Amino acid sequence: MYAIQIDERWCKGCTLCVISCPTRALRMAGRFSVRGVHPPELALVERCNGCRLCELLCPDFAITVTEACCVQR
Amino acid sequence: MSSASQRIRQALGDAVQFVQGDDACAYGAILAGCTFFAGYPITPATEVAERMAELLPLIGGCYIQMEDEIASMGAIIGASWTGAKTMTSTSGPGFSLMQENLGYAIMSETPCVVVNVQRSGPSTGQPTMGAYGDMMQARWGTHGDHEIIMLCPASVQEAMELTIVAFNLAEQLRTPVLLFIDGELGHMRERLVIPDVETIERYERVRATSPAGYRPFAPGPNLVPPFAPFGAGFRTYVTGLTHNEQGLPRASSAAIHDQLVRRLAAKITDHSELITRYEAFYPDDCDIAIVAYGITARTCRDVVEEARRRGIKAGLLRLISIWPFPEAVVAQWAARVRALLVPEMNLGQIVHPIREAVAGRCPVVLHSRIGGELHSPAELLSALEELQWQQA
Amino acid sequence: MATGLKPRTAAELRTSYLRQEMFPTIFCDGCGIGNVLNYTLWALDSLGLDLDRTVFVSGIGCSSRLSGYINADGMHTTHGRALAFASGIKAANPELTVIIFTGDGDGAGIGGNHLLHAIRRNMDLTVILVNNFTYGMTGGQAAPTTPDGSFSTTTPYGNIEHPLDICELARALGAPYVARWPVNVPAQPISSIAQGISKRGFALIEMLVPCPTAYGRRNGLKELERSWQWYREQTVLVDEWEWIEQFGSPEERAALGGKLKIGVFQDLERETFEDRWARLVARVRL
Repeated sequence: MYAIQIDERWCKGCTLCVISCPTRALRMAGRFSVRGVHPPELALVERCNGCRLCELLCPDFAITVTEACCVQR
Repeated sequence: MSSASQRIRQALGDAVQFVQGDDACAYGAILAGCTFFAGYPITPATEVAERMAELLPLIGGCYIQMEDEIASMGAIIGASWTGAKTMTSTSGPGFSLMQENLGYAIMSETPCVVVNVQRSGPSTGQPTMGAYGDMMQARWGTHGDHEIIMLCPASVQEAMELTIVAFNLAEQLRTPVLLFIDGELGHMRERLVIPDVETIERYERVRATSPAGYRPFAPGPNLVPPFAPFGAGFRTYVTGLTHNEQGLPRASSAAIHDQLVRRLAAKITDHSELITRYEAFYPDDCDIAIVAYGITARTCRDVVEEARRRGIKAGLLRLISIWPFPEAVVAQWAARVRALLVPEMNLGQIVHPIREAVAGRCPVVLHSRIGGELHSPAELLSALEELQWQQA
Repeated sequence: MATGLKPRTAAELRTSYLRQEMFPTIFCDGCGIGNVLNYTLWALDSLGLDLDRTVFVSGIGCSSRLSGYINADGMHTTHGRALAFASGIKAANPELTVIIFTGDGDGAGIGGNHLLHAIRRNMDLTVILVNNFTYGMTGGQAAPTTPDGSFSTTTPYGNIEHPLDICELARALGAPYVARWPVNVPAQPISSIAQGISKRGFALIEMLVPCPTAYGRRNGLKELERSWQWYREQTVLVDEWEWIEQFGSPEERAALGGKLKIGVFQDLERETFEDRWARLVARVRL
C-alpha cells in the first residue's frame, strides 16, 4: 500500500501527476493549498502501485510516494 | 630564484629591452602572475594579445582567442572564478562591446584586468591614431551605479609597472581594473627594464578557509568578501542579479539592493589610499599649473620646464589614477594656483571632474586636440602663456 | 545507455542535489523546465558526478534559472554569454565538469555566435538547451525557434520567419554529441544528458518543453494534457524520419512538414580544445 506526500509550498497544481498516473489513482483535490492551487491527492489508494512516475514527472519535486505502514501481504 | 621565476625570466627574455607599450602590458601581466588571457584582435591593441599568445604557453598558462570582445570579457571572468589571474585587451569599439560583462565583473566581484589601448573615435574612427576619447566611458560605460578603477600610464616602463599594480588592486579589492593607454603609447618603443619576478610585490585575493558557514558575498572588514574558487567544495552561486550575502537572488528587495550596491561602491572609494596615484612637478613653487595624464603629460613635462625658463612659475599635476577621481589632490592644487590648463586628446572629458573638484576656486581651461596628433610643446606653451597673461 | 541508473526517489534527489532554499522555483505551473531539472538530476546521479567538481553555467531567461537550483558551484551570467564564461572556466581548470543550461533564445539567438565557436573549438562542455519556442521570461516574444505562423507578443499577426534547427547546426559543425528529446519521455533525455556529460567534447541536448503561460496560451497549447499530446504527435524519431524521407510515400513525406525530429543525431569522437591545448603546452613550455 502506498501513500503520497505533497510539499504544498512547492506544488503549483500543474496536474501533470494526475494526467500521467498510469492507473489513474490521483486526482486534484477540491480544497486549495496555501499557494491557492489545488494540490493532488491519492483518490484511489488501492490503485497506486508505487511506480513513482508522478515523482519522475513532477517539475517541482513536490510529490513523494511513500510506503504506508501495516502493508498486508 | 625559484624555478617558476626562472621560467618567467626565460620567457620574458633580456632584462632590458626596446619594446612597445603593448608589449610592456603583456610583460607586466606575466610578472603579476597572469595565467589566462582571452582576447580578440583590434588595432592598436592586437600586440598585447600576440605577446600573451607567445608567453602564456611557455609558462603553462592558457590563451584563447575568443570570437569577439563580449566573449573575451566573459571568458576572463569565468577563468578568474577558478582562481586564475586573468586579463584581456582591446580598443574603443571592443571596449564598447565589453561593457555589459564588465558590469557583471563588478557585480560578481571578479578580479580581472582590462587593457584599453585607446584609438580615435567615435565608431571605427581612426584605428591607428591615438586618442583619449574613452576616459568617461571607463567611468560610466557600463549601466547602473558602480565605481571603477582606471589607471593611466605615460611611458612604456610605467605601462608595465601599472599593469602589475592593476592586477594587485584587482586581487585586493575583488574588482575589474582598467588600464588605459592609447595608440601612441601602445605602439611607441622605449627602453623597458624588466625586473625579476621575485622583486615584485604581488597580491593574491583573500581566500575563504572553509565551506562551513561560508557566505560568498559577506564582506570582510575591508568590505571585500573572501574568495572561494569553483571546484573547491564551496558551492557558490554567482549571479548578476541583486543578491544577498549568500549569493541568492533578491531582485525585489530595495533594502538588499541598496546595501549591496553601496557596499560595492564603498569597497572602491574607501580604498583611495591603495588606488590614488599621481606625480607632481613643482607643487610648492607654482602659481599656474597643468593637469594632464597619459602621453599628453609627457609633452607637458617639456612645456613646464620651458615655461619656467621663461619666468612662468608653472607646475604639472600628472594624474596616474583617473578613477576613482582624485578630487582631493586636484582641489589642493586649485587652492594654490591662479589657473589650471587641461590639455586632453579629446573634446573634454576629465576636465569635468577637474572642474567639479576645483569648485570654482580658479579658472579651468581646456585645450583639446583630436585627430590623432599629440599636442605640440609650442601650442601648449603658448596656451600657458596666454593663460598666465589673462590671470595677471 | 546510461549505466548504473538506480531508481531515485524525489526525496533523495531533493536532499542530494537541490539548493532547497531557492525553492519553490520561479517556473510557472506546467512549465517543462522543471521537468528538465528532474531529468538532469537523474542523469547526474547515474554518473555519480562529484558536485564539488561540477559547475553549472547559465545565461538569462527562464531556462537559465536552472543553474541556481542545483547545489553546486554555479554561474548565472549575461544573456547569451554562458558559453563564453563556461569556456573560460573549463580552459582555466579542465578538471572541472562544466554543464550549461540555456534556452532557445539565450543559446541560439543572442548566444548563437558563442554556440558556433564553442562547438568549433570542441570545448568539453555539455549544453542542456531548453527549447520552448519563445522568450518566456520577458512574456513570450518570438524566438529563433518559434514555428512558422506562430503567435507571440511580437508576432501578433503570425511569425513570418523560419525556425532554426539548432541540432542540425550543431551536427553540421561537428559537435561530438547532439540529441533532441521532448519533455514527455523521461528515459531518453536522462540517458542523453548522461551520455553528453560523459562525452569528451561538446555535447548538446536540446529539450523540447511546453511554456503554457507565454507560448502555449497564444498557440492553443495552454492546457497541459493537450500540450503533452502535441509533443507526442509532433515529434518523430530520427530513424523513422529518415526512413520516411527515403522510402515513404509523398503523403508520408508531406506529413513530416512542421513536425520535429527527435533522437540522437550525432555521436562521435573528436579531440577537445583542452586536450589539444595541453599537448601544445607540453610541446613548448619552459
